[in-house]
Amino acid sequence: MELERVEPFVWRVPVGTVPGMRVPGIVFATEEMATKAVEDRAVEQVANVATLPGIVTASYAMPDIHWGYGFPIGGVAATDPARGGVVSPGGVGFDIACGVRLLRSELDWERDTRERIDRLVHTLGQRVPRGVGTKGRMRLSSDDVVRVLREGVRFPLSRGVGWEEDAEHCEDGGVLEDARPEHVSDRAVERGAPQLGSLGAGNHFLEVQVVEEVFDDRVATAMGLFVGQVCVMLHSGSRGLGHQVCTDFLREVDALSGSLGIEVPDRQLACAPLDHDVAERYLGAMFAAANFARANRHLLTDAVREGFEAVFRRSARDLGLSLVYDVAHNLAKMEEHDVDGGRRMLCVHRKGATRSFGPGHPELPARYRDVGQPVIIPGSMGTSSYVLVGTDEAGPRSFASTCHGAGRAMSRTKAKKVMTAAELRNSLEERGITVAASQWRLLAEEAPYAYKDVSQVVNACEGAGLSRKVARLRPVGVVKG
Amino acid sequence: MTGRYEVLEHTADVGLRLTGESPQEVLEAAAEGLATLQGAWFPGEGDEQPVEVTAGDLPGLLVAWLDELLFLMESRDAVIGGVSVDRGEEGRVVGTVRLAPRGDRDLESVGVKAATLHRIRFERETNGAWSADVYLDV
Repeated sequence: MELERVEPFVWRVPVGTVPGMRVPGIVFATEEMATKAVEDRAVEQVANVATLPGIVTASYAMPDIHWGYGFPIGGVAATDPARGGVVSPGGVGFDIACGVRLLRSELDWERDTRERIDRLVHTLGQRVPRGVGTKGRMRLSSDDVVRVLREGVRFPLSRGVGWEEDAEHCEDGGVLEDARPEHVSDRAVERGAPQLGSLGAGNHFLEVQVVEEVFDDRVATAMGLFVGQVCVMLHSGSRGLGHQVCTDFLREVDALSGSLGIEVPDRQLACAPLDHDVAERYLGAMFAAANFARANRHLLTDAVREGFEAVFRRSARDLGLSLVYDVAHNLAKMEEHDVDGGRRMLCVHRKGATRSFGPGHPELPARYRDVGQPVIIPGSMGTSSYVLVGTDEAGPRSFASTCHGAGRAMSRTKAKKVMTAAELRNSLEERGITVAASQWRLLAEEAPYAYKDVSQVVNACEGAGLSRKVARLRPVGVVKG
Repeated sequence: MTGRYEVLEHTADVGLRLTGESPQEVLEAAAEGLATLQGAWFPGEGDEQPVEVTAGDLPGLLVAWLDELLFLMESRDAVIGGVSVDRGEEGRVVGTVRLAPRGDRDLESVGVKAATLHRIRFERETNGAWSADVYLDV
């Protein structure tokens, strides 16, 4: 499979690379990343996505691209309802609205925190429900479940959990208004509702981090970030509820694709025309699951604040534990973008990619309207994470999208062969990182060497104009799901 | 049960290659592979309960079967003590699964979210045996 270099960080997958491509593929990457993506079969998946009915401009892949299922991880595709566009549940994934949020504090690492980090991580580990299954922090009646699905973070706020400004600093104000709880199955509720307020397993985590370097003083100031500051990053999603919503609709859409004669090169790309009843119901249920995911991270934030209060014996308000931003990286949304010289309302799928609105975008909260949208990029366990900011250029270049993380480079089986969990734990602790894991034996699956170098990924995003670096954070404590 | 499973490499997720003398054996091996990946395979434990799923074709049936087991494990907070598939063709799986309460067990799980249709395969080999590949989202 051949890629054509267009610019230093832009590669084209020509139409015809796989049969049925309607648009080219565009991969944002360094040469090394692009080569790896070809070897990894991920570029083949970029080409496969380009066959979706109604796809416009290109099938995009961000620099953290790697082999996924159906869509590549790091894939972005926009479809136009006016051109027979479709929505593909596989283009959102099972963990609907999985995403990241960053909390800042007024604590200084050296002055206030270093001496207490072991206790802090241990306390957070105790207060944050985690692991596979797991009961969450909030018990819900059946009426409550409907309210969470409809109201997102507004529901826990109505119960006095969290701060009013948390909603403002969340993508969409913490609630997608088009959510339709009536399209979420009883099975999805039965499976996932008890998990509200839990971290989950796999690559989900909570990290205590320190701002190590600021690249853009003006934007960092707008986000309330400064060198030496203690922050907390959370990565979680819609838990079993979202997984079941995708499972339910994938089955329905797979059958529909066949009956409508929609041919896709990978069955996981099964899709429904946006004007079809199935698509309408999927979008309503998927938005409801996204509201569940936002409420989930909101409740985890409450656990973090409680943990800090217990360790520092000061209120979370006094500690300044404010939300910088919360943004998803597995979602499809209706957004307005330029296509062929005109503004079009498109269904933008981001599967392992983050929205990256530039300065002045009307959907940004007042605090960030002048600087652009915060983009929170977790590194691999034990390596740096980044705060980026959206750019004007990202709009026309990638439907306002950028990367979502470091991106895996090694399978879980291989990762476990490189180092044992004990060796990895020692290695992290030698670097001053305290770890609380629920499953030590599997820790090595998430080892730093199993991922790409996140610094190279964010530099490629900046080189391609998709986002700009604001700050780099290093981990000092990890709570693994 | 004589069906077998092996784990397939995937950069982000995990796959299962399944073999057996019949579709039933393949489905039983799939259940064991899934439950093992979830850290929830405890042979002999639990009470039997019937399970039935339907799908338009065999690959879809494999995905539906695994998704049903995931649903049962998670919604019942249960581990699996064994499976038996009585019928596994013509768009329908009928079987039993032994479910036991998870209790205080801290499961060492990769955290499977769902079975996917990516590169799904379920077919009879030229030697008469059956085999399948399925990738799981973790």
